[in-house]
Amino acid sequence: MLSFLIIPRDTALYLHIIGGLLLIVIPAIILLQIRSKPSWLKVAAAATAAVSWITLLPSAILYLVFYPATKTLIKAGPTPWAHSVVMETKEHWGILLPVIATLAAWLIFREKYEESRRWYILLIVLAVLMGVMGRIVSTGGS
Amino acid sequence: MANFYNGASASSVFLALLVIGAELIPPLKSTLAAIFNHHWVGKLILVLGAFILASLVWKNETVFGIGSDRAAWHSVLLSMAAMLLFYILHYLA
Repeated sequence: MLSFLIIPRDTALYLHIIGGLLLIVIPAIILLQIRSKPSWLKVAAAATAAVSWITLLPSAILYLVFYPATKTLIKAGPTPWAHSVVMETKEHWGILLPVIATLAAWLIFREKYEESRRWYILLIVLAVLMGVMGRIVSTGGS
Repeated sequence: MANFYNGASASSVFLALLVIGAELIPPLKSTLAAIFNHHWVGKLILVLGAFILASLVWKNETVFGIGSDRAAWHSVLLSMAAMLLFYILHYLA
């Protein structure tokens, strides 16, 4: 059933990382420019929301197709918590990225700029944490 | 007009309940896996579906007497904290 998801692991990983980086960089630019309300702000907000949804696909491929082998290694190794706590939390926190990005974009489109700020800050913090957690998991499997 | 604050409140609380429920009630996890091929895919589809549906249908400006903006903020943060805490306790138990 998952055969249609098979793409090279490195391709999925790069897309996953690029998506995660965009979810840090674009919201950071939005936050820096939000007070001057440039005309492209809504485009940037829509792009952030789109990236958050699209990035689910390479993330799902990595998790469903390639992660099970890594999981076996981690659970048999000296740091099983890297899967049982860090990865389990990461895989579920990640589901909230499109929720937060879409909510923040909705606020920008309603021109509620001040209200959107804390959601973009949360999005950046969450994306950074996901990167750190991913690094912990990959270290645990190596 | 949609209210994405309410979608965020509903979906984040639903996610935390699904995560904790699936670990404590094995038949729930296996049912999700049987229907969606993997429990995580089931949670993803159900939670994001709940987000869209609740945003479009549930348009109240207040949730249990507090503003929907505050309710969404606290729901998302508390749900994230609940999931992390649960997995720490589950690992230590």
